[in-house]
Amino acid sequence: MSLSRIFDIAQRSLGVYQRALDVTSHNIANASNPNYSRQRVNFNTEIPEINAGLIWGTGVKLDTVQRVRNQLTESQILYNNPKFSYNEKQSYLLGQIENVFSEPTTLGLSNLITGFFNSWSELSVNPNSVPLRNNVIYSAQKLASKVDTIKESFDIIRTDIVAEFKSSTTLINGYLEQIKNLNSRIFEATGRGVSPNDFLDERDRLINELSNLVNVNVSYDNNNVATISIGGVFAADGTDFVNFEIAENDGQIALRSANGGSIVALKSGELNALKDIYSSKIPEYENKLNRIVDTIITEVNNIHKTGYSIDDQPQTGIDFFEVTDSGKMIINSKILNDPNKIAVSINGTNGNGDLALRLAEISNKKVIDNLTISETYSTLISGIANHKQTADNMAATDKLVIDQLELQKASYSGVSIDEEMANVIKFQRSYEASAKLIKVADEMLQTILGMV
Amino acid sequence: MRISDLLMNKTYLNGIANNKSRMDLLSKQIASQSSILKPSDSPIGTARVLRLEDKLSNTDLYMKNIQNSFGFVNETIRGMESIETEITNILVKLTEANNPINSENRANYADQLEHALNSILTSANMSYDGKYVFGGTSFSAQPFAISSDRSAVLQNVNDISGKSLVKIGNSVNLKTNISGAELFGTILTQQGLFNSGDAVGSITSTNQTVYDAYGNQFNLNLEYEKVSDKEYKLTYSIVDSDSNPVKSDSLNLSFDEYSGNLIEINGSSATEISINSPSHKLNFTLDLNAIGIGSTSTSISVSANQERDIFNTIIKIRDDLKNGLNVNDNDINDIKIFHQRLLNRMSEAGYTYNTLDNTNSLLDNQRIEIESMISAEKDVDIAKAIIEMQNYDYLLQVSYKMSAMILPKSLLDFL
Repeated sequence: MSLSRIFDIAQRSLGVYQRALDVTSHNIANASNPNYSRQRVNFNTEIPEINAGLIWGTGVKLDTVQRVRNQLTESQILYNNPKFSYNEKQSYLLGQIENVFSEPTTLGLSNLITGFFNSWSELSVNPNSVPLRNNVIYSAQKLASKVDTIKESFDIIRTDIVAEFKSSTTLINGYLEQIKNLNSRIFEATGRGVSPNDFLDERDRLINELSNLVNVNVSYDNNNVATISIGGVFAADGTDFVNFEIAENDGQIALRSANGGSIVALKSGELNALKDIYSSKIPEYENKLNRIVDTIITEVNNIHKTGYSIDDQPQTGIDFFEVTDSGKMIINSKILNDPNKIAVSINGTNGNGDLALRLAEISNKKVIDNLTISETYSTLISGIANHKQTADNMAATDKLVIDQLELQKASYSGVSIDEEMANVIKFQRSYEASAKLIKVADEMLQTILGMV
Repeated sequence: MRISDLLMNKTYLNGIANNKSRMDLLSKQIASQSSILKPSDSPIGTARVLRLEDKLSNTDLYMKNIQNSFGFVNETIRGMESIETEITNILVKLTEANNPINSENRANYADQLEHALNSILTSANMSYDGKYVFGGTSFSAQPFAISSDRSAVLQNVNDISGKSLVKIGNSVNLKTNISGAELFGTILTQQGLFNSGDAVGSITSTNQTVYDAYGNQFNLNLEYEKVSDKEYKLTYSIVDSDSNPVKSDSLNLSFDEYSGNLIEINGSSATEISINSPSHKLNFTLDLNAIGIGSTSTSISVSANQERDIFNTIIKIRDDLKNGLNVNDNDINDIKIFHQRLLNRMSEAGYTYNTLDNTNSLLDNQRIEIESMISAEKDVDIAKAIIEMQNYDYLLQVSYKMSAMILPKSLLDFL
């Protein structure tokens, strides 16, 4: 055996532990990075030499720098992420819709509907009282104004949804381009036999961000290149990526590949929540509200036009509300200009308030699907509330699952400073021992040289 | 389980966030004193609160309607009490006037009747809050006026039979007025049963003499033609003593399928009609409540409660006394009949007042019950909420303390 072998073993050992310390310092530097997967140095014994019938060990070698991650946990995160973001976004948007109705407060539509019908009942006691006639007009104006406010708020929410949908689509396109670029760098590194751990972490982060927005499907080839599809439509791989855009048609929005390509089957993620609220929930609530408003207008007009005003020459056939677009409540301008045009007399005598009583009775009549107007409105509000509560509960459940999975991921892939510092000591000591070995070999060589 | 620094961070942050979220909700509930801040806090509770608040609002309205009606009913009673005092006096005076000892003083009694008439007329025209108490639903002019030669009291407006209905319950509309027609007017009551076996097209007729304010006679002819099993067409016509037509009209009568009772006139749920001919000073009510359809018929007849109203009866007596005549017993009897009718109407008004009062008390109790139900549904138990808040605050402080103690420590501190 030659002394130079000791030098070789010690020198190799110094290199290995220096690299191990590099990896450890990389881990420590990323201890607070939530997207980082800790890396582990895998040591192995260098291939021994056989000489003179003996096996001579040649020291240590650095086998791989492994990215520590649990594929099962990460797949589950990728599966649950869009579900959570779908429910959370739905909850947020339904909360906005819920606030529009201002229930259960005195400013809510429920109170204003009751106030409107009660104003007729009050008028029936003193049918020729101008202040009470004005009170009917004010109650109707407050009701009409609230209906307008609700409908305007729906329009604002719709506009915001389209803006957010477009902005999210731009984000998706950006993510896909970055994924495609990372894919090609991963392919290149893998081909050279290098572990592209940090590129993989960055690509995982992008896929994770993407899964917040849409339902994604990811598959990997032997070179670790990820092929991404969104709702059944190809999105990106190692060589190409697709741009997506918003498709608006007939009150519906959807996501499709650019230039009029395939429509994406959105099933979860924030974009699906935006689509569902825009295309399904808001029209549903608006139709129900329109039906309530239209019923009030029709029922009031049908009765009102049979009555007589209290002008000098009592007039009949006057509509209380102008009949315009569905859901639009406008008080007849003749009545606004002259409260005496309100018709509550059934026979033309100015003290008769029978018609006002019949108008007040509308609130007790089952005029919409065997329900009263208040009951129908209450059903609409509890419907919105139930949708919101369901979205809240599902988001909370999904959050629990996601939190649990994130904790598992943090447990498995997260950096432990204690662990890393122990490694630092361990690798430092090994490094020191290797250096000492060189010194010992040197002394041995000096001893031999001194004999010459 | 492997413990990483990220894991510990996340665990502490999740715990603290949950704690703060609960504290945020509690603080909002304490500040607003409502456990339902938005419908999704309790969809069923919200629906219940909306329904209860709707009910509360209606209850408030009914109570307001009742308060507004009290004054009117009181004024109606006061008016009738004044008339009753005058009628009682008139009856005493008439007894005195017919006493042969007072035969020399008939003109004096005629003057006293004139004063009484003025007083009754004033009460009949009294108003409350811009509404004529006995004007039915016609408030444009006083219901009654005396002719310039003071020979007759005329109905001043077309119709004084209107009913003033006030909503005092979900499906309860209470009549709060005594109309001029009910108190002073002539009411013709039609009674009898049509035979259900009569052929469609068969006609039944009746006649009745009616009088104008001056006592002139007119003939009212009523003709009922069967239109279908449950419908008759009523055609009435009034002619004067020279058979000149005065007024005529046709009405559709609908009868209940099972009871055979009259339920609608011209599609409205009414059983009486007001017939007026202002140019001929003819005003009366035709009450059809007592006609119906039966398996056997009874004769269809009509009767009047009075020939002339109380004003014109007093005028006739006044004129008789002025002319030195004795008071006719029939006229005294007419006043007695009116007196009885007045007492009945006073009793009806008293009943209306009591109904309003009792309903008001009931609604007051109902209001308290609804308020307590709303309170049970959405009010916050402040004591419980504050204790919970303190508990969460304590837990939050412990979490902060623990995380501040544990998170910064690592092996690094001991190397």
